[in-house]
Amino acid sequence: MSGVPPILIQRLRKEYRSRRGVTVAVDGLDLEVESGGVFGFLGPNGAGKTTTMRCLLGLARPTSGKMALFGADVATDLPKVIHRVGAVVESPKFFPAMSGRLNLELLGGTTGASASDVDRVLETVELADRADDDFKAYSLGMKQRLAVAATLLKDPELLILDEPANGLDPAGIRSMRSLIRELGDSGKTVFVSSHLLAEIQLMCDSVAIIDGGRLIASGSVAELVEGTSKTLAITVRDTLGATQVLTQAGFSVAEGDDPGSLTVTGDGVDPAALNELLATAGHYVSELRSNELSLEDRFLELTEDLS
Amino acid sequence: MIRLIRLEMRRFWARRLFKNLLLVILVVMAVTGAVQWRTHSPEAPTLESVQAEKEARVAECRGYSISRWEQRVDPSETDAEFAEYLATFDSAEDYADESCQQALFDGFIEENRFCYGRLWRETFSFDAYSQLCPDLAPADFGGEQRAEVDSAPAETVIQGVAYRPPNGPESGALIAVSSALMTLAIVFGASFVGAEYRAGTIENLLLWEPRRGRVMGAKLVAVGANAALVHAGLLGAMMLFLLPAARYSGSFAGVDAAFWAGVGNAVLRGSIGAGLIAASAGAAGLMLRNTAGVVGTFMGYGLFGSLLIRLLLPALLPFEIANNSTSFVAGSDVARELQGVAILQHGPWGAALVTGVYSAVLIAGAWLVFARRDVD
Repeated sequence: MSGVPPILIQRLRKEYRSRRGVTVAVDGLDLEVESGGVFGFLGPNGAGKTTTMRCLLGLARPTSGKMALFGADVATDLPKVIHRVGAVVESPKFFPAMSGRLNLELLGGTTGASASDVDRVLETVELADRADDDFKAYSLGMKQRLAVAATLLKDPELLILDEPANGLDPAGIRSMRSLIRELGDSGKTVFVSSHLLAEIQLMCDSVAIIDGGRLIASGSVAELVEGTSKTLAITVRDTLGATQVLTQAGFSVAEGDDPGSLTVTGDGVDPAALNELLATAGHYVSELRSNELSLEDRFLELTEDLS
Repeated sequence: MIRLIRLEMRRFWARRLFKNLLLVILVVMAVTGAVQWRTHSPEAPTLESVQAEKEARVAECRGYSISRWEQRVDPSETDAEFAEYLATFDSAEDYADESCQQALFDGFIEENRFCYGRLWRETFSFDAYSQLCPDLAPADFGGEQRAEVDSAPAETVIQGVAYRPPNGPESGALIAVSSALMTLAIVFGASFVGAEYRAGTIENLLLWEPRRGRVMGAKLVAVGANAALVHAGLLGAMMLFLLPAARYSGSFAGVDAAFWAGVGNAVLRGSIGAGLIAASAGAAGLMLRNTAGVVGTFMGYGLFGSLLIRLLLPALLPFEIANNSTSFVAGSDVARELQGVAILQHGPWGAALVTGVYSAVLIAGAWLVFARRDVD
């Protein structure tokens, strides 16, 4: 693989015009996705994730800006690189009255994929035994897997997946996560959007967060989570007294969800030091739990700041 | 492109809607053929008696007319008026021909079923058991009538203007079925593209082949070619299903080279028409992105739009799409009346050209929309 980034977006802007006026879905977005690994694309509903993907894949025409896939300008040279890109945008879309296998054969036929290629990808997504059933008879999870199978049919270097875990049960989510992780580890680049932030945190190497059509943060998951204030959850008998002690010591204290519990926030809060402080003051801690900061916390922090 | 067309062809034949529709039509044709065979009347003895009755009636009429010619007497008119009228004929035979036209055609059995149709005449038209299934009308039944039918399609002169009537040797059931099947072509074209939008698979396809011109071209070629093929097949099937009726309840008299040439022409025109209409409906589907919308628009125009033009803007009729496409399929000329005079505008292939121009405009419009519009 060359050093050319699989995805490069520069000042992308997409407006939708209607009688009610102009809606800006993407507003000057810049993004570069490096080769290999799993890249998470996050944002609240209406942030412009799907619109960005649509523009990137030639399904929607951007109002302005440039996009390139493997260095090829999407506006003019998409046909030259489309065989290197597999994508599922929004929900899986197939002919409901045709079997999963026929649907894949019709798609794969455009690039000359053989029947054995179809069988191979059906095996990969564990749909071989239901391949001859009508698509409409599939569960949502099976539909998602068929969509992923369709993308794999090209054996693409870049996969663009929009909410691939949507509608999946916990086992399905885990299986999808493993598949995506495997693909990322195998050297392919997987660009995945999801609102299941815990999932993204588990499977992505890097993420970008957008809101209001703009990029608000990007980097590795570790980089994004790092530097965010941590919290400790404690349970004590006398919450009033403990709150007083902790507040005097400079901590920010809030009532927890359960009776007798408090949530303590502060820069560099250390569980052992906090426990010692409370014990010295005669407040013995019956439970102390460090709340690991998640990507979700960081995401909410960033998007709430913006709003 | 060839690969894409092949795939679209495969999808066309894999569609359940298509297969079910085709099956229903074939079953209806088979049942109709069987009913014709089992219930077709009249049987040969009836035909003979009707023929004899008609000949007797014509002979009686002619005898009476000739006698009036000779006596120069008509009870309904004054002698002078009648003499003046008779002076317009060269002979008693000519006068008898004119007087007995009604009798000549009366006595035919109206077969108001599958093989029923309308016979065009120079000055009037009327219903008669005849040409629609020539194999069911033995040559010795209304031989004179058959001669009329066989010669009528060439052309008719209306006040000095040659006009080809909408009935050829193949006319009747074949043309009627061919015209009715145009509806099927609309449904094929509209649903072939509409289904892509309903299922959202157009998006999938563009993720594999982003050159929209190729995608659109392959779809329209596939649906047009298949609609033409299916049309020809169904007309062939119809004739096949009528074979038992012809073999066991009628005869093959009148089925000659001219008949088959007429059939071939009708099938060719119908297939080309079906192909053009299906491709046009497909193009409209790319613009409207909805099967029902396209079918409704086409049908609505055929039922009401065309009628409004006919009523409000008759001068546009020679270039009106429904008028031209139906004339092409029927093999008739496109004419319009101007102050009671039929003015020939163009023949069936001229009508095909007009239909083709409309299709081309629709396809160009679809291309402009499809190439630029976001797919979602």
